[in-house]
Amino acid sequence: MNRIEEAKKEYKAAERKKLMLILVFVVLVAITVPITLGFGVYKISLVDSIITFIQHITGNITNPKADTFIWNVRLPRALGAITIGAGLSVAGAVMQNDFKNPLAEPYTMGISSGAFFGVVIVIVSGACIIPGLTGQSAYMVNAFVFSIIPIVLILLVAKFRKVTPVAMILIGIAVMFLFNSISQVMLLASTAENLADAYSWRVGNTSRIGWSELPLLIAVTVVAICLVWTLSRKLDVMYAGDRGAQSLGIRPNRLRIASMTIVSLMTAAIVSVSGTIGFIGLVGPHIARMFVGSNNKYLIPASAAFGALFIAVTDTIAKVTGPDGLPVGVISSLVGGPLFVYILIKCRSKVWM
Amino acid sequence: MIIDIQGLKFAYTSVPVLNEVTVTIEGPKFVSILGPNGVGKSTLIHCINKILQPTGGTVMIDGESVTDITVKEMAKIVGYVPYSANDSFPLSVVDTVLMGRHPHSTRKSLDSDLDVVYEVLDKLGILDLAMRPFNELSAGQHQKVMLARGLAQEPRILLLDEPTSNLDVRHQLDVAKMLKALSREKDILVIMICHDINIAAKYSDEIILLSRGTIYSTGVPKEVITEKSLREVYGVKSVIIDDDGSPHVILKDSISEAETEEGPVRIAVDREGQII
Amino acid sequence: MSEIVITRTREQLKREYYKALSRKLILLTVCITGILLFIGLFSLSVFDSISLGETYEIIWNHIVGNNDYEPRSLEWWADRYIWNRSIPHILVAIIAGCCLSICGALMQSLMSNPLADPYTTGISSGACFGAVTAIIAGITFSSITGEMGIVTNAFIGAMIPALIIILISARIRMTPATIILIGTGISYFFNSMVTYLMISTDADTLKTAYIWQVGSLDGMTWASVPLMFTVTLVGSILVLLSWRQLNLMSLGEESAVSLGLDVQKFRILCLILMSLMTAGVVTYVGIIGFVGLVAPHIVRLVIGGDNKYVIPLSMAVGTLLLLFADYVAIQFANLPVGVVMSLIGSPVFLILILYNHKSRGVLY
Repeated sequence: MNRIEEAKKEYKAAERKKLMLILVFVVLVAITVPITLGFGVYKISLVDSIITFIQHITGNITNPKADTFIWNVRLPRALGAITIGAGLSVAGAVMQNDFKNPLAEPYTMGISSGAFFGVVIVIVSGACIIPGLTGQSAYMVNAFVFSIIPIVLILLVAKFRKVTPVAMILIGIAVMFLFNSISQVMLLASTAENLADAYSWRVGNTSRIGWSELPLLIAVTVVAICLVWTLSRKLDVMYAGDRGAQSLGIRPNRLRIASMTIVSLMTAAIVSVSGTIGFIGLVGPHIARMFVGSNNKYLIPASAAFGALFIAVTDTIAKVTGPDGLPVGVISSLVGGPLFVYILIKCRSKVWM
Repeated sequence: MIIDIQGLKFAYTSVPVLNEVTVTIEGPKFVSILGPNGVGKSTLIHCINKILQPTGGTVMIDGESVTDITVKEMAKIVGYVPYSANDSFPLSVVDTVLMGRHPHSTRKSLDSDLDVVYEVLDKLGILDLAMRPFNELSAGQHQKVMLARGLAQEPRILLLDEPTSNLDVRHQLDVAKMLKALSREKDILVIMICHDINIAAKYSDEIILLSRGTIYSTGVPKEVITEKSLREVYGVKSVIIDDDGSPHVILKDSISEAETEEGPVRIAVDREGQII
Repeated sequence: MSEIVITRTREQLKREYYKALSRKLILLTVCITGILLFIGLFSLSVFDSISLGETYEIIWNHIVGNNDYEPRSLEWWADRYIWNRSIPHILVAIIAGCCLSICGALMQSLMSNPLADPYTTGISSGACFGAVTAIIAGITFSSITGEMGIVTNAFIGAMIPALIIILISARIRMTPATIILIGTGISYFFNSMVTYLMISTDADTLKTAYIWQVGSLDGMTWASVPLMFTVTLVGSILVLLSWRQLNLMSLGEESAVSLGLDVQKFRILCLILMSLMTAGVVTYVGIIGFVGLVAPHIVRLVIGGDNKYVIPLSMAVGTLLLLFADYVAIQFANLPVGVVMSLIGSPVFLILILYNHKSRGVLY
C-alpha cells in the first residue's frame, strides 16, 4: 500500500501547486487594483492616490478633488474591471466545457449581438423596454432584456424537444446573425452619428461603470461564479461524453442547460454594463487551463482570477492612453491576441486536444 | 441481484434492432453476451442502464422497473464501461477515474474517493499512469482507464462493452480473469459484450447468444457454444474441442451465402439508424 | 462501436438508396433553377422595358455573338445594360457564393468543427484591416492608391494570417484546434486595430468603412470578374478533385495517415488554397458572412454528411442564397447583400435546425 500512498501524495502535491497558482493570480489582482487607481485623466501620483484612498476609508479627507476622482470614478471602474474579467472568463470556461468545443465563448449563444440590438433600438428610435427611460440606463435595460432572448429561446426549444449541443450552438449562431442583420439594417438607414454612437457602445468599455451599477454587477457575478463552482464536479463528468455522463448519474442535457443559463445571465449583466469585451471569455479559460489543467474545481477559480487580472491590467493600459485613447476591449485583444498565439506555440501540449 | 428483461423491443427509427428479448440474468456471476456485428448487443446493454428508452417491453432490476430508477440511483447500481473513449479530453488519469466516484460522492468524500481510485489503478496495474493526461495514452491504456472508472463506481452490476478489444493477449486474459474474480469477491453481476468466443467460453459462468435482434440461446458455455449454434448465428464452420471442461472453438471456414437458406442482404446501420 | 446490422430485402435497400439520391438531385435542381431564375429577374431589375423571356434571349444572343442590334433600339439598350451592368454583378454574386460556400464546407470538414467558416483563420480580419487602413488612414501597402488601393490592401491584409499560420506550422505540429485558436488570436489582434481606427475617425468615414465590412456587391463591373473567376475556378476544381482525400480525412487523422495521406501537409495546402480563394473574393466584395458558414449546414441538414456531395451542393446552395439575397437587397431596400442574407437566412436556418429529423442529423 506504500505505492498507493506515494501516488496519492503526488496527486495532493499537484493539487497544492494548482492552488498556489490560483493564489498567485489573486495576489497579483490585489496588487493591480491599488496601482490602477493611480492612472487616469486626473494627474495624481501612485502614492498620493493610495493615500487618498486610505484617507477616505479612515474618513480623514484632505484633498476633496482627488478623493472624488479616486473614490467615485476610479475605484468603481477598477472593481468593475475585475468583476467583468472574472465573470467573462468563467463563463467561457463553462461554455467550452458544456459544448466540448474550444471555440465556445460567453457570446456563442448570441448574447452580445442581442445586447447590441437592444442598444441600437435606443440609439436609432429612442425607444426603451421601460417607457420613459433615456440615456445610459435605457441602454442598459434594453441591452439586458435583448441579450437574454437567445437563452430564453433555447430554454423554450429544450422544453419541447431534445436539443443536442451542436443544435444549441447553431441556434445561437442563427439568432446572432438575425440580431446583427437587423441592427445593421437599422444603422445603415440611420445617420453616421448614430452609427458612431452604436459602434463606440459596442467596443467594450469600463469607463461607464459607476457606483450605481456596481453592486448589482458584483452580486450577479459572484453568485453565478459560486453556483457554477459548486457544479464543478458534475461539470467534470461531462468530459465523459453524454452517454458516459449519464451512466455516471448525470443528466447531461439538464446540467448543460442549467449551467449555460447561469453563465449566460451573468454575461448578459456584464455586457449590458460594459459592451462587448471580447477575447477574455474565449482565451482566459485556455490560458488558465495551461496552468491548472481541466479539472473544473481549479479551472473555474483560476479562470476567474486570471480574467480579473487580465482586464485589470489592460484597463490600466487603456487609462494610460488617455481619455480619447483605446478602450479596454481594444487593448485586451491587441495585447492578448499575440500573447495567446505565443503561449499556444510554447505550451501547445497542455492546450485542449 | 436479478435483471429481468421481458419482451424488450427497441428501434432507433423505424428499423427494429431488438425484438422480443426475454431473459433473466441472476447474479453474482460473470456473463458474456455474444453475437455477430450489429445484432443489438450494445443496444441491449444501453436498455439495461437506461441510456436508451426501449420502445416496448420492460427491464426490471431487483424487481424495480428501470424507468422508475433515477439516473443518479442507476449510476450507483449499474456501472458502465464504454467500448472506446473517442472523446479525448484533457484530464489526468486520476481525475478521469475519479468521475466514476461521482454517484457516491459527497462534499467531504474526496479523500476516501481518492483511496478507491488509487486502489483500482493499482489493481489494474496502471498506477504509474496516474498523473498522465488521458489524451496522451494509447488505445489499450484508454481501455484500462475506462475499466478503472467502471470499477471505481463500485456498482452492483457492471456492464462492459468489449473491454478487451484493444488489449494484447496477455492483458485480455488478465482482464477476463479479473472480471470473473471481481464477480466472486465483490458479489457483483458482471455482464460483458465480447467478440472473442474462446475468452468468453473460458471465463464466463453464463453466455447469452444473440441472433437477429433476439436471444438465440442462453446457458453455460458448453451448452451455448456448439458447432450448430455458431453455424446458425455467425455463419461459420467450426470444430469445438474440450479444453479443461470449457469449449474451445477452432474456426474452419465461413459459409458462403449460397449455403445459407435465403442469403439476406446485410447492411450496416449506425446508432442513429442511418445506413453507413 | 459495434454497429447494428439488420437485414432488409434488396427492394427496400434500393428504394432507400434512390430516395437518398433523389433528395440530392432535387436539391441540385432547385438550386440550378433558382440561379437561372434570378439571373433573369436581376437583369429585369436593371432594364425593365422587356419581358423575362426576352432577357434570357438577349443574354443568350450575346453569348453566341448574335448581338448586332440596331444602335439605340430597345434591344441594343437592353443588351448594353444587361451585359455591362447586370451580368458582371450576377457573375460576381455567383463566384462569391460558390467560393465562400465551398471554402466553408472545406474548412468545416478540415477542422471537424461546425463553427468553422472561411474566415476562421482570420482572413476576414486581415482583409478588413487592409481595407480600413486604406479607407481611414489612407495608407496603402503598395504604390497603388484610390479604389484599387483598397482592393490591393485588402488582398495583402487577407494573406497575412495565412502566412503566419504557415510560418508557425513549419515549427510545430498543427492540429485543427491549434489552427482555429491561432486564427482566433490573429483575428482578435486585427479586429482590435480595425476597431481602434474606426472609433478614432469621423462618423462619415466610419460609415464608409462599416459598409465595406458588411459586404456589398454594388458597383461590380467586368473589371472585378477575371481575378475572382480564375481563383475560384481553379480552387474549386482542385477542391472537387480532392474529395477522395477529404473523405479520408473524415475517417480521422490516424486512419488517413495510415491510408497514405500526409494529413499535416494536406491541411496546410488546403489552408493556402482557401486563403487565396477567400482573399480573391473578399478583396472585391468585402466581408460577406453567413453564406460560408451556413450553406454547408443547410446541405448537411437536407442530405446528410457525405463530403462527396456536400461540397458541390454547398456551392449550389451558397450561390442561390447569395443571388436571392442580392435580388431582394436591390429590389426592396438597396441594402448591402450581406445584411439581407443574414436577415432572410437566419430564420430559415433556425427552422431547419428545429425541424431537423434525427435520421438526417448533422454529423459531427
